[in-house]
Amino acid sequence: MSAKEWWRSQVDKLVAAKASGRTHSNDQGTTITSDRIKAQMQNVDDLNSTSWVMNDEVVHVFFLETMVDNTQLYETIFLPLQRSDGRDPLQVLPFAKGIAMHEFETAINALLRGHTVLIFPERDLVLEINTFQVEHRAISQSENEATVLGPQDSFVEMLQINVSLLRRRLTTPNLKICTYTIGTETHNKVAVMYLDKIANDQNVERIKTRIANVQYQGFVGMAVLKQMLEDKPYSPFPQFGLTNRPDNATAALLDGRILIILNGSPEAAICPSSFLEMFSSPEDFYNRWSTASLLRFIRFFGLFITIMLTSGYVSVLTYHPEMLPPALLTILSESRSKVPFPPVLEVLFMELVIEILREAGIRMPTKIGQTIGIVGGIVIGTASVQAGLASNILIVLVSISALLSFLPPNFLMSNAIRLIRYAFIIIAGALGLYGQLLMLAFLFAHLLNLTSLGTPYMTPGIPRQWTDLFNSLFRAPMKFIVFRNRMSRAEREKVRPIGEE
Amino acid sequence: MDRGKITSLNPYHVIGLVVNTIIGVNLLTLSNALSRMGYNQWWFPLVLGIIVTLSLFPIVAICKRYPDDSLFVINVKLLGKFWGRFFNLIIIVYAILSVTSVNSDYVRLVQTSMINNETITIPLLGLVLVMLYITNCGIKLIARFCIISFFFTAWMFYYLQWGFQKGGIMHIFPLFNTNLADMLDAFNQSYASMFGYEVLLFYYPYIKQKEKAFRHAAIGIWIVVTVYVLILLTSVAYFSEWEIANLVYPILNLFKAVELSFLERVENLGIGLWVFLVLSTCTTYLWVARSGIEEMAGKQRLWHLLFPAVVSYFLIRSWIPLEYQEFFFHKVTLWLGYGLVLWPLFLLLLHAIRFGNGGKAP
Amino acid sequence: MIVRLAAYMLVLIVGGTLFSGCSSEIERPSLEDMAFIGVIGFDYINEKDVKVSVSTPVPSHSKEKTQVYSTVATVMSEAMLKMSTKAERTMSLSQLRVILFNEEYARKVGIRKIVLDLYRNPSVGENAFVAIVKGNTADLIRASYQNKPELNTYLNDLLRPRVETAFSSFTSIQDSVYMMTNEVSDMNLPYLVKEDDDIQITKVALFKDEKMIGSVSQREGALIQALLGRKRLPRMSFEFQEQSGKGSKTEQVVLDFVWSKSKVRSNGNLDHPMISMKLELRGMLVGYTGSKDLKSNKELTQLKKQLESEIKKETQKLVQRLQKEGVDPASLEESLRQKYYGNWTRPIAMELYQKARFNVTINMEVVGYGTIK
Repeated sequence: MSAKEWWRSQVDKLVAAKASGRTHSNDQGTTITSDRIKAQMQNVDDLNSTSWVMNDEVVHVFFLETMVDNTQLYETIFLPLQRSDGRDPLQVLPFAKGIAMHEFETAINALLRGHTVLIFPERDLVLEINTFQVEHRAISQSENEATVLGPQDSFVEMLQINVSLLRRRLTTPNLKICTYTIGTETHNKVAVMYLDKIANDQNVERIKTRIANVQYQGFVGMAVLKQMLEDKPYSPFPQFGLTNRPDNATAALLDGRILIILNGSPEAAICPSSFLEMFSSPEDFYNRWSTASLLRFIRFFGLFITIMLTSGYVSVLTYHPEMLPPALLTILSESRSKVPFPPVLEVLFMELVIEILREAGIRMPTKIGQTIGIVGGIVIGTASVQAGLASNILIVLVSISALLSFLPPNFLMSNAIRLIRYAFIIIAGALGLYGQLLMLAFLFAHLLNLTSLGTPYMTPGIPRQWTDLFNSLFRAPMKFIVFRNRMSRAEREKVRPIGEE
Repeated sequence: MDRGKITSLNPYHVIGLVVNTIIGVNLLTLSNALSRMGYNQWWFPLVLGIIVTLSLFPIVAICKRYPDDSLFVINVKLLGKFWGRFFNLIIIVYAILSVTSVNSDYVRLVQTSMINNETITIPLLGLVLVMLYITNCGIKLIARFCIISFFFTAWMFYYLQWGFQKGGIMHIFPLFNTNLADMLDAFNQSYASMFGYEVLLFYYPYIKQKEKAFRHAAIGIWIVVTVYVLILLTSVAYFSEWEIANLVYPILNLFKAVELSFLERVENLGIGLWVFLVLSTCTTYLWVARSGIEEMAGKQRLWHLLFPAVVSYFLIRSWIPLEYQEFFFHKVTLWLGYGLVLWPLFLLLLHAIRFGNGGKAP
Repeated sequence: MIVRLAAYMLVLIVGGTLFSGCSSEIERPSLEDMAFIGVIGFDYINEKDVKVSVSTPVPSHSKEKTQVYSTVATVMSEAMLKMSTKAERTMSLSQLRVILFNEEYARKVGIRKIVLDLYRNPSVGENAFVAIVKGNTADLIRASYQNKPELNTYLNDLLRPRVETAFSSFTSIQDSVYMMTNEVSDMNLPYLVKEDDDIQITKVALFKDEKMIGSVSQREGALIQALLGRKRLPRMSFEFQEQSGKGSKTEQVVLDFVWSKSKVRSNGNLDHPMISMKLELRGMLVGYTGSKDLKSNKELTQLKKQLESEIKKETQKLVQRLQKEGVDPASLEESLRQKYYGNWTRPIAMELYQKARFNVTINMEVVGYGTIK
């Protein structure tokens, strides 16, 4: 049985089990009473259940203390009710929504989302009011996609704020937001955003189906959900873009892409997304076209250099010493003369040291981390050369390739590149330059085989439309950017209304 | 994986497939194969190009009559179940032999020039695995891979200027100093380096713009011819006639002379990058073998792909003495190739007899 | 499915080779375990045997050192085998830069066999220089040179193409094979002489087929290179007897050639072949001891005429001498080949070359004369 079939059968089983033995579904249809809610919410200690007597009428009030602000509750519910003089609460509380008496689960759900549930037993009336108010992180600068120019705000962990960040930028009724609840335990919100009449309907449908088909207990971050929505889950490469910059997300929307935003995660997934886009930053459009093109070239060819540099060292030293010019040969054989390991092990050792430094730097508190990083780098580098564990040329090469691997603005891509670099080093140790290039062929075959939401991942390496080349490795002046990227299969092809509308 | 009759190859794909299936390991030895022509070999690809373009006509003609069928199906439809399958079997053998000959030539070259104190087992195994991966993903991935490998290798032609720097371009004179016998010999020696376009017979059903397939294939063929002419011109300018006749891989010797400030002996890189061209050739043939077996079996199974690859692997790694291998991989493949190129003529005749000229098959 | 299969297999292969490589008895030598032969020399012993000397640089931090090995053998591979057993590192020819033959060997045995042997070896690069040495190559290789980089670098840099030594043909191994086999020319190689602490390229050795038969001076070498079409030529000095009122006086002209172009064409006649050579030279006057006023257009033209006729005279003399000796380092036969239909062979070439007449045209241009008038 292939992995896919196995997965499918597991999902089917899960769905079947859910349909029969769901805990909540049995409760659907039972009448909402104060005792029922209390029973359901047993041992939920932040539940505040009080009974007020308002104008000689008992009102049971339920809310979660951790999700609701007491003053607000007082102002928006308690005071109006107190002054209502027995009028219909629905009139007194304009933001209240009625819940039918038998929709028990709805009531519980509302409660859990920070709404306040009011039960008027004498009127057979249940109301819910959105009183959700929690502390959240302020909108701050983006840390991992920082730019010098351009907007500096970034997404936060609240869906509403993230959506509003985009809404402020796109004042159009065409910005559609479809919200889904996913996660069998977390019942989290996920929003699919797209620009109607620009985004491709098929793509939108595809995303919606995929989200509807996701069965999982709950997602703690967008990156987890993204992995379950991607086309080829076994590939080391990210197939959807991931950004926490609203400007980047807006540009994607305008290009006809679809955004997926998960509540509680400060990122938006952009789909479909191409390999080349993982190497472009929103700053490319803030810079002049010439600078932007140069930077894109550096980022993209940095990829080749980072995977070929240290592995090239291995293969040249082990298999093809004739490729070295005399001057380089002298330097290299001098620095290698004290090293006791074969080049493969030497390189793997040094690369792992860099990897460890990086990982340690992330885990450590910022202030110490930087110091340790620098000290560790310098000390370990110099010491290992002095001790004869590595040649000094290699230290230079390893540092260059480590730096280059951080060039792609997409963090997941830079991780993927670092991973495949090891494959190149190992095969270079086994088969030399031939192995490296065989691996490169394999890598590119794999990349060509990838799709992002059904569109080829390697566009516009193989352009679907020649205008795509204007915004590829080379970023043309704005004047030339007339067509949307063909990869998004936009409904409207042109970015400016020239003879189309 | 391509299931059903999805037309998925756009013009770029078709051109890429034609170009890169033709350009394979044979290009490395082309100049040597044409050595009977001496310094006059450089225009011979033009002759080959004309012949190939002519032979493309019947290929496209038979395909047009059966736009939804590959040659395997056409064979069965026209020749009946038994004979159709018999010839399909021969085609599968041809495809496997082609894969084998390309792989074996290339791996032996890698072994002698790049990793010369190891056996060919591991390099070959690596090559076969990557080949399997690409073929498994269907003709469209092969086409995409063809396009990308063209770009990966095309920059190497820049270094051909090293050959011209020696200034021997006057070697092309006197023009047309040759005779028919030499030309025929050269034809026979070099036609193998033009094979690859006949695979059109098999991927024709997948082409989107079928009415323009001939034009696209012809563009591909003439790109190849241009590349060949450029390369032959370089080796004519750079080498003496003795060297052309005695060096097995003249282009590699040319690359050997290239010196960059940080890298010498670029031929190592050249041979290594050739893996792209080799893969794009052998995957196409492997795909043909696979689809042939699938057509015969009537269903899709993984072993339909593994079987030809394993056979080809063991043909190279086997106990078969090298001279027999040489005979199988080059002589037999060549004659089968000629047969396959001429086969559409026979089919067209049969079609005309059975259904009338130009008529669509029921 | 197949993806995973392929991935597993790759890991298996790679891991397998990696770990078996570590544990195997004979480890694959990496860079520092190899002795890269930089210079190889061949000395005459008798018709069959040859003395092979090689020099390999030793990597060390303080001072550059060189190891030298010698042995006597009949074929190249035998020599390599014998020397490998003497060295503590693995010998490799992949960094070979200079191939030296002593004059005696080149004259008596010929260099074809050894050059082709090396050319066939895939690990030998195309760019190794070939040169002839006066005396024994072994002495030249074993000697120590004061104030020079170690031998491999020194010889490689010495033979590297430079304008100053542009009279020799900078023959790499590929060039020498080309010249030996191209049916239209004879080989010429730089001729090295060891003097105390220096090695000097004194002249150009001429070959017929594979054997050395003589030599030409630096100046003649430069003219041969000009005829072959080299763009940059070394500096040349000319002496003229200047007639003036006060009797004759020797004036010296030193020319720096900044650009040159040659055009060698034949008339294609098989009975009376005629080869016309047209040399276009542009030179810069860097030294002048005469009394002509170079600013005056007339006198400059006069000097130009003098130079042209001098170069023409020298070229004609050289070409005729070469024709008499039956060697053709300037590849004049190429012009005949370009108009010959049929199977071209060296005897035909030689026959035509021997009866050819020459017509030399020199076109000289003085592009500048320094900063002092």
